[in-house]
Amino acid sequence: MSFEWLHPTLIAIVLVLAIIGAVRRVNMWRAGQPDQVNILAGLMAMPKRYLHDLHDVVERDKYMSKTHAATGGGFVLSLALILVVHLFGVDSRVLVWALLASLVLMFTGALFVFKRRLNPPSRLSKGPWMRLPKSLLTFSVTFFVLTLPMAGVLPEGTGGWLLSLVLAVLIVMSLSEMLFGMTWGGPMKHAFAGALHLAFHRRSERFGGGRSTGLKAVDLSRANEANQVLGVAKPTDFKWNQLLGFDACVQCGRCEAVCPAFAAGQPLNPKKLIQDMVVGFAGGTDANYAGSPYPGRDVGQAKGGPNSIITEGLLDPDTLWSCTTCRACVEECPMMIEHVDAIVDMRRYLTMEKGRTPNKGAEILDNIIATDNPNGYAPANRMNWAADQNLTLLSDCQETDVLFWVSDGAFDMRSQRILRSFVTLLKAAKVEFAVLGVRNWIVAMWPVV
Amino acid sequence: MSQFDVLFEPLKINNLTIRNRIVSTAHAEVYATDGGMTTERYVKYYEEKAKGGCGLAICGGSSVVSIDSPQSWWCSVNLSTDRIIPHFQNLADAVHKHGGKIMIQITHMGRRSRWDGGDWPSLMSPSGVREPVHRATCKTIEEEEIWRVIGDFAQAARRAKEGGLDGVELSAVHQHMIDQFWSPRVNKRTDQWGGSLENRMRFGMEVLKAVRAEVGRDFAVGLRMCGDEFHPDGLSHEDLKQIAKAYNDTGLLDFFGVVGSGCDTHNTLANVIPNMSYPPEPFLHLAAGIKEVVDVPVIHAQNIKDPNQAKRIIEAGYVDFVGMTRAHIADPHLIAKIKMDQVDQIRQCVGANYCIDRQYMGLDVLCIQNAATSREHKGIPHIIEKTDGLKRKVVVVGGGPGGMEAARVSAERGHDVILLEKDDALGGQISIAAKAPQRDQMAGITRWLAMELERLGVDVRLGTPASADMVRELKPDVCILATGGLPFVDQEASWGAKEGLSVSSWDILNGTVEPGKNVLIYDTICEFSGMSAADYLASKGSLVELVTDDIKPGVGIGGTTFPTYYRNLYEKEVIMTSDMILDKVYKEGDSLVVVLENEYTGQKEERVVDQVVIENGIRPNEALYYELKQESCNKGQVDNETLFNSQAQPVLSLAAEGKQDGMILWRLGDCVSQRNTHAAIYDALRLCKDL
Repeated sequence: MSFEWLHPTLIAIVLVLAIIGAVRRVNMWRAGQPDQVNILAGLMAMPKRYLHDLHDVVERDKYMSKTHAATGGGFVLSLALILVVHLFGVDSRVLVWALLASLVLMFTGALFVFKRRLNPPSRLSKGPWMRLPKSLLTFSVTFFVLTLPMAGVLPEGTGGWLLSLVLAVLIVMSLSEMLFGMTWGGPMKHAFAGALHLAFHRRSERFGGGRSTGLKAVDLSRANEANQVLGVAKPTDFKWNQLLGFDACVQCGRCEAVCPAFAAGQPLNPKKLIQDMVVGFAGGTDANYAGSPYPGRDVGQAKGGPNSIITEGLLDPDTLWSCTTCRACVEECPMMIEHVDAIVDMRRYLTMEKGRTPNKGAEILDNIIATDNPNGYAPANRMNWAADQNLTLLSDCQETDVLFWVSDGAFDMRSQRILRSFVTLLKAAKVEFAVLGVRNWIVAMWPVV
Repeated sequence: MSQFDVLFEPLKINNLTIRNRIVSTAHAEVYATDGGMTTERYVKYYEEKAKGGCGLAICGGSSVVSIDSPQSWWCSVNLSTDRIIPHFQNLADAVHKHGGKIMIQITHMGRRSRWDGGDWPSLMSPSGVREPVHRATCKTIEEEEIWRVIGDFAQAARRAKEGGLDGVELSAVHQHMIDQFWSPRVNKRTDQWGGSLENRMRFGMEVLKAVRAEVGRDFAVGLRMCGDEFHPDGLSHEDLKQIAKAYNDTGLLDFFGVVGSGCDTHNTLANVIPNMSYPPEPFLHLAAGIKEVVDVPVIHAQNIKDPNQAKRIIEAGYVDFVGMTRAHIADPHLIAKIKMDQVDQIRQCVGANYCIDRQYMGLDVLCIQNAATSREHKGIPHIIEKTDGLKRKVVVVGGGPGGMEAARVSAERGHDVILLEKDDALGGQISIAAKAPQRDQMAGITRWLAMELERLGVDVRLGTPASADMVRELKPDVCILATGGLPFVDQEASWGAKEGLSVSSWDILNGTVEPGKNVLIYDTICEFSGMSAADYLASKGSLVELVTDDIKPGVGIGGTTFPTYYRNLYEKEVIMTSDMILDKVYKEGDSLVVVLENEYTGQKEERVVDQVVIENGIRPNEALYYELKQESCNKGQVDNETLFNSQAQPVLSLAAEGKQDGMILWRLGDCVSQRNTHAAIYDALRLCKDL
């Protein structure tokens, strides 16, 4: 082509802009709270986590898994080779043909992405994501054509300045999506943030077949320090790698599809929640959100900023309280985002700093304080159902092999029949057991805060 | 949490943990056999209550400790012999098996008995004063006999303990020996056993000390006492509070029971087991007064029929345990149903007092509406199991108590039941009976049955008089006729019923005939209906004379019910005339003339009235039966052999063998012969329980 300097220059410019964007984006994440992460070890572990843990989740949808392997794999290879071949002008027949091959792979994948977006399922967000297939196709075709002369398939100077110009435009278009957009908040940011999130994930124990689902305890030791809050009030109260995690979201909506609160019409959509978190730390409004809203709430009501209180303008507390903490969203997310940690953090601010326990929560807590059980039954009545059963109290026998923990069913007339039947069975089977008596303390089955 | 939680807070009596606050208090059952032994019927009766969730039953009202307090008249439990011990063991085991506790009331009846049978003793009392209600004369008790009786009490308590019972309740109520000593009405002695309150209390104190010495401190011993005798020359509430405090302060008692009212006259007798004419828990204040002065739990019964009453009383702290004794007779599964939130399915006592009225006639205690009570040993069930045989189509004609019970039991068995009733409402003769003043609770029997029929999905067709063709069209496998009867006002033509000169008690109570101003009621039956009609008319302002050819109106009713009628009738100035036969009724101008003939002298009298009401029982409605009889496969016959043995009617097995040729036809209740509500319900239950 003519203007041989044009295309490499364009690539270089976009690349520089991308690097600037990356620095900017990283600083947004770093506005969050510190968290101990081994940077080097994380980066080294990332490929394995991608190819095993993340792949296992993505593979639940085999069709899209293969599509993404072709598209994503094709893109990564192509980009690397484009930089080598087109930007740094390395002259290698092998690499050129490799580039052509990877672009074909990417194109094939992109066709399936295009097909998918013709009639996408409702859980997928639209908006910028609808143009992504076109960007992918454009990218692969543009660079394929651009590379053909170097492969010797087309003669040099084919198409003259007209083709050059056209390709220049297409390069700008596709690279702005694929490179610029990657670090300036477009759909491709998932590759950048996603890869780094895998490397610097807050729950590194969940990889390699591990499990990390327990809530992280609140650090009360710093509670009285100035500018410290319990829980998360503003986006910058999150840990930096939580903010990084929010950016990894591809808006696939797998979380939305399994969320029981969403299915029940509660004002919670885990996907939108994560997007609102992005609005929070990046600033702005949710006007550009193009997916399913919180049921019963219109899009366009939310605005936020990194130092604005989330529940004053960005999220309604009802959204937070709708969550059942079932962790289905976390289980299904291909980007390993931890939605529940974020929700619980925000709840902690509401309850522990503001005292705004919702609905009947305060009553339950008062009951537990006064009576050791959530429904406020008189604790002395716990064993009335067994008045004629002559059960052994642990305080009398001191030791037992079998402890019968009777639960709050002891207060309910119909549940008492279950308890009495069970005692009948134990006695018939000659099992020796003891009960705690009225000193039976019930443990809440799931955490409220 | 339920509204009845407070009833299920256990409370201790001595070392016993009683699992709930509803108690079956001591009552005479008249079930003991073989000289006062608690045999199978007795044991199974109490076992059913324990099975039903009752936490504490105090059995054996008026169980005797001495051979000179005769047990035979009311088949009381006999603690004067060691023979009772193994029988008590059976009783204790049966109740303990289900987690309940059982105690027994022990007493010497003193003068409150009969001397003219059995061992022909001389009855004893502190001052030999005759007892009105049993017409019993007695001797003045001597010192040697006092100490002997005290010893008898101790031995009786020993036997209860050795038999495995959980405690004894000393009776100082209903004017037995202990409270005969207490009451100045009856105790005029001048020695150390009479005179001052301390002297009068001495006998009971010595009994208590002797019993304690015999059984030790760990065995539950309680005292049932009166809260106020309601006699001006008897013990007042204040007197009894003093007595209660004195006994409490000995520290020897574990609980008190309090009964309102003395009962040595006919009028006060009706108070102690208040029937439907009394308000709820009328004597609670007396029990609460006693509770103020004692440290141990207090039990009080008397007209507490409903779990809501019980809850209110316990919550407010009037007493610690409520006795719901008749309530348990009507439904021994009362507590289980409260626990299962099936309060509407409790068969509630209506206060008919059929149970206690039978006892005062020396007959075994039975419930007017629950025919299974005390028949557990015969295999009559409280809870009807579904059949594992064929499902049958059952048509019941008649929605009175007999018909409703037949429909209920058949539906519980799982059959398809249709009930045909000619009136616009269920109830039959009970609906008529409930129209009399203060008899409205009778309709409670209908209410429960109607609710059960609805729950069980019985096809109830009201306003549907049944004809033979209708029955045939329905093609039932089993047809049960409970068509009742009609008033038998035309037994004598001279009574003028055909000419409209006299009407029936049904006409009056149903309101189909306006009450006259000056009414003569001729009542040959002398049970409830005549007096109900008289009461009704008098309350409407009529002048009423209630005439009978029998001894006295109400002579056929038991000892707790006729007093309440008499109170009403005397207050309303109803004239009761006995021994007069109704000869003739004729019209003279605008008035009616009634000719009466004295049964003994033949002398005749006339009355001029404007209305004559005849109560002469009923004639069975048999027409439909005779129409269907021949085409039924059993010719309407009931096999008495199996019926009396509570076994399945042989004709029921024909269907499974394919040999049933035509429907099975039975009739029950008044449409066979005039009996009573219990008879109709019992027949329905024992016929249909094996369907």
